[in-house]
Amino acid sequence: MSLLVAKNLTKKFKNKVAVNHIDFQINAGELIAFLGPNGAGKSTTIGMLVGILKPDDGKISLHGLSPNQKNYHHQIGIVFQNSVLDDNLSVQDNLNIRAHLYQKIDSSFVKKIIKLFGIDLILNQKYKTLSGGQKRRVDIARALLHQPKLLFLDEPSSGLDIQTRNKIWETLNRLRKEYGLTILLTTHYLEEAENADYVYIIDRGEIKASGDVQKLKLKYTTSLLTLWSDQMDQLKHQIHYKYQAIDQHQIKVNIDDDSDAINLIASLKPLIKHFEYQHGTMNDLFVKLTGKGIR
Amino acid sequence: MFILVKRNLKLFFSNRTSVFFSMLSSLISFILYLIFLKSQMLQMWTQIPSATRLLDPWLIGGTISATAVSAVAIALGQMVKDKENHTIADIYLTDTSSFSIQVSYLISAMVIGTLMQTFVYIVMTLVFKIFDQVNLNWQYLPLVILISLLSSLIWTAFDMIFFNLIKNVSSLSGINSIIGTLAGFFALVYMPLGVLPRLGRDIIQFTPTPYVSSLYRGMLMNHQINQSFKNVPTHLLTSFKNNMGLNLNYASDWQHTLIILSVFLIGFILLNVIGFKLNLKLSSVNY
Repeated sequence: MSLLVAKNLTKKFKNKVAVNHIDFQINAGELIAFLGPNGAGKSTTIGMLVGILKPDDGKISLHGLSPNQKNYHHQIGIVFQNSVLDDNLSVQDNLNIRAHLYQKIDSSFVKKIIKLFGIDLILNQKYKTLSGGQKRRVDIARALLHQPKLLFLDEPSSGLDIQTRNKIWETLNRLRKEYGLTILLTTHYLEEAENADYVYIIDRGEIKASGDVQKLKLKYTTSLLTLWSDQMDQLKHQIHYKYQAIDQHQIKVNIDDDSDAINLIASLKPLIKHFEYQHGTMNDLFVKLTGKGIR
Repeated sequence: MFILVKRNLKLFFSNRTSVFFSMLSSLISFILYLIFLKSQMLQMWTQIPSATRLLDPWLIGGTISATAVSAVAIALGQMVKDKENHTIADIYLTDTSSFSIQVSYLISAMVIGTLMQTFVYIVMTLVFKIFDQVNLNWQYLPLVILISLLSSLIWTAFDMIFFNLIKNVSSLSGINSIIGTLAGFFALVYMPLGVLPRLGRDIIQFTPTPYVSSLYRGMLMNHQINQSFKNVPTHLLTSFKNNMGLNLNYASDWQHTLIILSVFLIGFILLNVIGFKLNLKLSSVNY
């Protein structure tokens, strides 16, 4: 069931088109990833989806509500790229103040969130004294205080260590399971997008590709079979796939189908010393669709 | 809304720099007065008995008036800070209306302005009581609080017009420096109205500051004026009031001063309403 639908969404800043007529939908309970290089239009899209940027064109509907309706805000939570909580106030004060700005707050849920994100021990600390990982956990807890249906995470893992990232995702996955929380994530971390149910690859304000991760990989990447042999000439004669000889003992074969790869390895068994079979990765997919150049 | 007021107050008072800068103009005027201005002014009024007892409350009145300008500007600066680091966007995305958010900034600036003015009044009163043995009457305190509420309201309404257009803290600190510097001049603290050229006097009287100063001074100096000018010709009293900014062009008593201040307030509120209608406020919520 679709939770949020965006149609023909467009945003221009002066003469630059940041988001160019994009359409997408988010189904309830899913984890959706917006993947794209810097300046691709991901944050602008989120800005419009949460209602703090006005689209120049297009429509957004969350269960029939549009972002300029006040009830819309109660359905969403957002974790901004940069911290927006008050440095000089304690974690407790920050969370209390934000909680009071909502009409209905389930205090038992708030307590649960505080415990789940492991911030019960830092409640009395001033926000500015927290580490990057602690701050991020508080930011996410703040975004979930009012139990939103849809959580927007704008680059949530930037600069975080692997332990913090794992802790955050472990908790978020638990909330998805228990409360059916839907998450829209923008990220640079390709492995983070790998866990998404559906990925939109955005570049220059347009959706370049979308689909579940496996389908996207199959469509846009090639699997590689690397073979090592001392009888390279004989080996080459028996390969009918496109290949690239790396040196006198190593060759890389483009082969997409797993069973074809198995058959090839079996037929070449007497000639092969070692082999390695690698599926296309998110990195390959990302570079293929958004280019290699730095902007 | 009141939770936001509480937040803004907590943020203001937990930041010592904010508190210090909100009193900077009062501190400057106080020091300048003690070091340079006092003896100079006393020389001008040698024929008036107990001139020190007149000049001390005169300075207090002007200084509190200047404090209102800088304290309110610093307090309302929280709104610009919140805009710059997207905190206002985070607050806007709650169930609280954008009108309530704006009003919460307004109320906190008013409370801070009133508290800082009252604080400066109490401190200066105590200092002059100790050093000049000036017998200042505490019965003025409730009236000081009332006038400080009014002046805070006027300055909040005035600053709101411009602060809604500022989007970053660096512009804000520039504006605060200008406000802090001008506040003392416009409140007629550094020099009396009488020594200014005609154009200067007219410009200053197009702002609310001299009227607020006049309101404070009229009240705080009233008792001593009656004492000091008991046996002095009336034209000298009129001349004193004109020169020291107690009498202004269109306000020679507190009733007229209040009317003029109300006109300023209504004007500023109207400009804010126009700004709100033009959607300046919401368009300033940017991501």
